[in-house]
Amino acid sequence: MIEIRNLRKEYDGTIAVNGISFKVERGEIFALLGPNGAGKTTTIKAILGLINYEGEILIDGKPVNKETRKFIGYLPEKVAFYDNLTALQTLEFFAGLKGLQNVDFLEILKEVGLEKDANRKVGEFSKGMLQRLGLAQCMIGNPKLLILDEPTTGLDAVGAYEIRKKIKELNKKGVTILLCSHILSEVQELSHRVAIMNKGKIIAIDTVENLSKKLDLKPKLRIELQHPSMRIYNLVKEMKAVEDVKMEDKILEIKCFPHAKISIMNAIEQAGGKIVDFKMVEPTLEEIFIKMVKEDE
Amino acid sequence: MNEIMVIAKKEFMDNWRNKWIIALTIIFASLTLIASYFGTRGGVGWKEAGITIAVMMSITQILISIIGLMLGYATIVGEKNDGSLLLLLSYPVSRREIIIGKYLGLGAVLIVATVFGFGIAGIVIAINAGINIAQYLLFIVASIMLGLAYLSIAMFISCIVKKRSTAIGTAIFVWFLFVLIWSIIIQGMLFATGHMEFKESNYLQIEGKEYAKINIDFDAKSIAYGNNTVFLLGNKIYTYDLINKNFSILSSLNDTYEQISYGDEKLFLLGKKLLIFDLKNKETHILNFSGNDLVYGKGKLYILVEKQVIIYNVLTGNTSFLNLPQKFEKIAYGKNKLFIGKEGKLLEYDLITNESLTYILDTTIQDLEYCNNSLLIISRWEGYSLTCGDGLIFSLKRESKLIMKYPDWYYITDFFNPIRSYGGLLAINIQPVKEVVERLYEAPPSFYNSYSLSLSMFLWIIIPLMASIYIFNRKDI
Repeated sequence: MIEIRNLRKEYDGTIAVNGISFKVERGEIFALLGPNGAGKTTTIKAILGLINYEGEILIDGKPVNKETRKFIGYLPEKVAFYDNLTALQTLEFFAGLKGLQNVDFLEILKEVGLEKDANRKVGEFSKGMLQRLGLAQCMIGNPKLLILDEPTTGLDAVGAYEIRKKIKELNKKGVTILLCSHILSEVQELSHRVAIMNKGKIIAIDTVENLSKKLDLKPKLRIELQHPSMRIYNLVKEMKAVEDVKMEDKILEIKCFPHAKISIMNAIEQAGGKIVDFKMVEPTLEEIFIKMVKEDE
Repeated sequence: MNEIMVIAKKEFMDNWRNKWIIALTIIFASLTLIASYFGTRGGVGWKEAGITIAVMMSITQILISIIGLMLGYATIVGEKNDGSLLLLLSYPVSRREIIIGKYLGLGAVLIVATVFGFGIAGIVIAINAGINIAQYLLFIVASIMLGLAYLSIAMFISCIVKKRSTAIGTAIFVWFLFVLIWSIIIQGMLFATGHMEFKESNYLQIEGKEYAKINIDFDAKSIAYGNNTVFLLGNKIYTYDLINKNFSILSSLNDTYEQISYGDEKLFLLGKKLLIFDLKNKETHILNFSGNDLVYGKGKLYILVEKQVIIYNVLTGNTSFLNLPQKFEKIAYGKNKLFIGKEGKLLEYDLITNESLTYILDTTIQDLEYCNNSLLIISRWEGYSLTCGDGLIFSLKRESKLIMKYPDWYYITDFFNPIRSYGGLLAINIQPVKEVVERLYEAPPSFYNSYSLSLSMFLWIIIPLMASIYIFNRKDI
């Protein structure tokens, strides 16, 4: 769907994006992840053709032009509309730019939960409502590709949940989604593949699972003890399969090889420790992210 | 094309509801009405549109430029700063289409505001005082053109700056530069480089049934009219023959005189003495009168000396006096009444009933003259002497001309002051002399006739707009 080759962009001597290449496959949710200033937004702007750049970007095999833009929906990080237009007029305007007529705007507004505010001026909208309207505008004309820059910023938990649900729904209908987010859990929940960017470069690109395997991030065993003691802590710490142990209140957090978890629990029981509860914690994207960025630096 | 119209429509809807624009439209309409009702020329009351236009021009130049700049200064940079431009550009629309669409939309707001503002006022004036529709429409079109030029400049500003605040600052600077000091700068430059020089000349203007502007190459201080002849007082007495249309010297003078008046085939010259010149036998008498002004009426000469009028009977030589409540400067006679004036004040004195009336005037009085049941006043700005007769008004005027050695430079100096006020006589209504008023204000301001000015206005619209497209196209977002 999107193919980027050797994209490079310099702003007044500062390199924002330094020769990145990647592909976003049709039908996937692809996430761009990276700290501020990593070059994510610049990459998006380049894909949309809003800046001059070196390199090549193809959408469906063609360079970005007026025609390709007709099937792209874009939600910028900072959504802003025109204060004196109503929600309905705003959608009419954007549909007009795509050359569309007879669009059921109320239906779109309903999908994002703004049907009651259709005739209110956008200037009176809250941040959350603007974000919903932003999502609504990028759904006009059933685009094949959605580019979403921080789609849930400024939303409360319910709002963010609804938008994530909407994104999944759209993806199920076959829409390819390029997502940019700071919220790692969101990326983890939504995306099929992730590209981690730092200082204008892609430092890793894969599925969340594969990334954690590559980085050799081990899952953690969390054991809740009835009577935690230093004796048990030391016992666990000295086991061969254990890499690291942390004790906090009644919880032991043990970093270990997955196959060692039964023997660890057995050892604790034998030493007289009473296990109240236990669970395995898979490595999070956050850990991957931090580790990647650290290694890169 | 479709995209341009979509953007134009959006821009119109978004800005038409802008409180500022509505406020400015209301100000537009109110100022036109106020100018019409309280206009500085000719006292309070409804004036027909010609006078209003003259008064409105300076107001328009200030107001319409503000509207144009305000509509346009933020249109690109504002959208860029708040982020909506990023979204807009992600749509299938080119930057050229955005600029043109925005210009059309904002231009439509400006046109509607102007037409609405001036239109309402125009209707009210038309009902109350009558209106020259063609002239008024021309005025509206000229105002719109000026506004569109400023809008174009504002859009250019909006394209080159990075912050909204910089755009406001630049717009204010542009306004200040073009509205207030542009002509000073350009004229200063032209003077310094010798492209321009200043020349003063005097001329005699004849208005009424016919109109003429006749240059005079001698110094004239005062004029009088009688027997198809205009008498001009300078170091000598000159005459201008209305039939043969030529100047000649009537008589030389031994003394200096300041004022001249005509009556019963005699000329009366007043300075430190009074000289009576008989036109039939060319005889002169000199009498020991002096004063500020004089007028002849029905065998008597009225000489104004500050707080007193000396009434001198030309046939009998008898003298009587009339005391005034304060100092006056000018005097006129008509229908057994004396009209005595000074800046801001006019006294009407009935010689039969000895009753007097006082009027407050909002003008200076350079000269007074009674004719056709009307009192004509020439203000300091308009000229320095006035007389009338046979349906004609004669005035002595001084013209300060800027002579441009290269005529092509005209449009540069005039462009940002295309709408200027233009002078003329004014009549206050003792009884209305509408005919005279209309005649005087019919001549349209130079802007309307000037091809080069229209062209430059057009260029001022096109060039900044093209530059906007060029710059906007090359910029990253």
